[in-house]
Amino acid sequence: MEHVRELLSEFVDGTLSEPRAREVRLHLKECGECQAGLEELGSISRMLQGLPRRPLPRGFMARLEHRISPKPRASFLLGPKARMAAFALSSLLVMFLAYEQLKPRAPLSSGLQETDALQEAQAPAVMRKALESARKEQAPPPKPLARAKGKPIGPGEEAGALSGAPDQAAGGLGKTEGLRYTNEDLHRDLEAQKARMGIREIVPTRPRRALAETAAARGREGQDFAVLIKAPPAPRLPGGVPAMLSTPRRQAAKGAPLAEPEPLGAPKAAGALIRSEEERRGFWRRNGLQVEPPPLDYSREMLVVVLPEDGLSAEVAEIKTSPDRILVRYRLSSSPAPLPMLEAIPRTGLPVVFERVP
Amino acid sequence: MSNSVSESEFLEKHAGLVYNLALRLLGKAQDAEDLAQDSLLRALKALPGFRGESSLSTWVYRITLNTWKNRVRSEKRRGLWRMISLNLFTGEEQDEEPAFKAEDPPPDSGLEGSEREAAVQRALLELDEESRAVIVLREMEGQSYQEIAEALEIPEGTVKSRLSRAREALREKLRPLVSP
Repeated sequence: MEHVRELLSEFVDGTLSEPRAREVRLHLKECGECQAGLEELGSISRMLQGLPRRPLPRGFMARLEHRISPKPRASFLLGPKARMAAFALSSLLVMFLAYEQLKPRAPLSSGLQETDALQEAQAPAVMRKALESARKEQAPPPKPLARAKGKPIGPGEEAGALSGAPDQAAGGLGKTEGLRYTNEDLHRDLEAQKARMGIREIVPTRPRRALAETAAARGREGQDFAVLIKAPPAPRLPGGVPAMLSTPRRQAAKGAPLAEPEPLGAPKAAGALIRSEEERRGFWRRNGLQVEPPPLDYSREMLVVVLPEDGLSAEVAEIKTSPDRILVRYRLSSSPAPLPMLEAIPRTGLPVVFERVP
Repeated sequence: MSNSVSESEFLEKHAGLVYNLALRLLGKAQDAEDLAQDSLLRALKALPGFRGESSLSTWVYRITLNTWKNRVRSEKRRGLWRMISLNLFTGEEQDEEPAFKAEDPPPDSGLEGSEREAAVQRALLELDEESRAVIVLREMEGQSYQEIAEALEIPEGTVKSRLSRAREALREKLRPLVSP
């Protein structure tokens, strides 16, 4: 019989059929070479089977469980005392914030912040006195009373919505008798203010376009004027409560691209709508602007400019388009090098209204 | 069937099996842990779908081997496998270069319990991956030909031939240690 080396593996495992196994056994009795091979295979099997089984490494299961359900990072890296201190500090902070939220506020501020009846009811008398006192102290010299539809918009003769007086919201809201307001009063007067000032809920928002972009955008030719609305920062009454947020308006004469800012002594804002290159050059010259903007296709677009003022850079926060106007909301922020803000918008005949926002 | 096996029971019974299989396939404790953890995670994820067509052990081995093979392929693609000749005992060049050879187990690999054990592990690592998987499953895990075939998803005849080839290769490599 020939050598049976190729059968030895199965012979060792005992998987050969009985006739084949018998043949192998017979051969092995006569063949020392195959016998030695069998012994070597057996030895190898014993060595392999003798390799020790290793226990799982320390922490294996913990690491596996962590991978199965990752736990959030340990929330308490501090010691017990430090945790107590942190807890106490957190509690104090929460109490402080709660107090700030719940402490009584002057009702006038609520007109700007959707005051509810609860706040009004909670406003103490001392707050009302402080408010009244502040109004008297901060009121600037009387100005001609602004009118809307021929009627005074505020009952106080010393205050007017367009005067820029710090308390114009109080006056404009038209409730001085005992300074008692209700939600209905506030909402009604606020709506009246908004109506007089042309502030509307403007729904569609046209995407802002960078000046460099000169994509085709058709606009209607027509009216050519700009409107500036300036909102001086709300003065603060004793107690740190904002007293007003007015948006006095002045509409420029037709054809005048730049509206006049309100001469209120408050930070001035200057917004302009430029419809032609000639207007642009004139505006640049009048305002001493040096850097030339990229060329613009004024047949399709127009340029909205908000100038820096009082060392503050202008930044357009939002441009909203409504059926009857375009509202440009901008803010001023400190900057090492105050720069004007330029925006190219599709040319349209709609008036552009500028509104400064905090 | 799978419903009767909770995750904790499954891990308690099979984590050690998977780790030791990985250890013999890879030779390094850290690599073995990585492979074992990846394999067990995959197994746990697939456990709800286990239909009991094979034994749970065979099923886990198959997942481990597939995970290992995927790693080997990935490592090969990244060229991280070094070809190291480990003919330490014969001093001869191999007739046929294996598909890959793993690194020599470092001294801190946890496998240096004895010189003999280290030599066997090195010889295992010199085998091509197919032969290594078969011999480890057969000799160390005590799997039958059928179970090996199921785990490796190959025919039983292939198992027999690979096993015979692996034993023959080991006999050559370990001859100094196995002389009767």
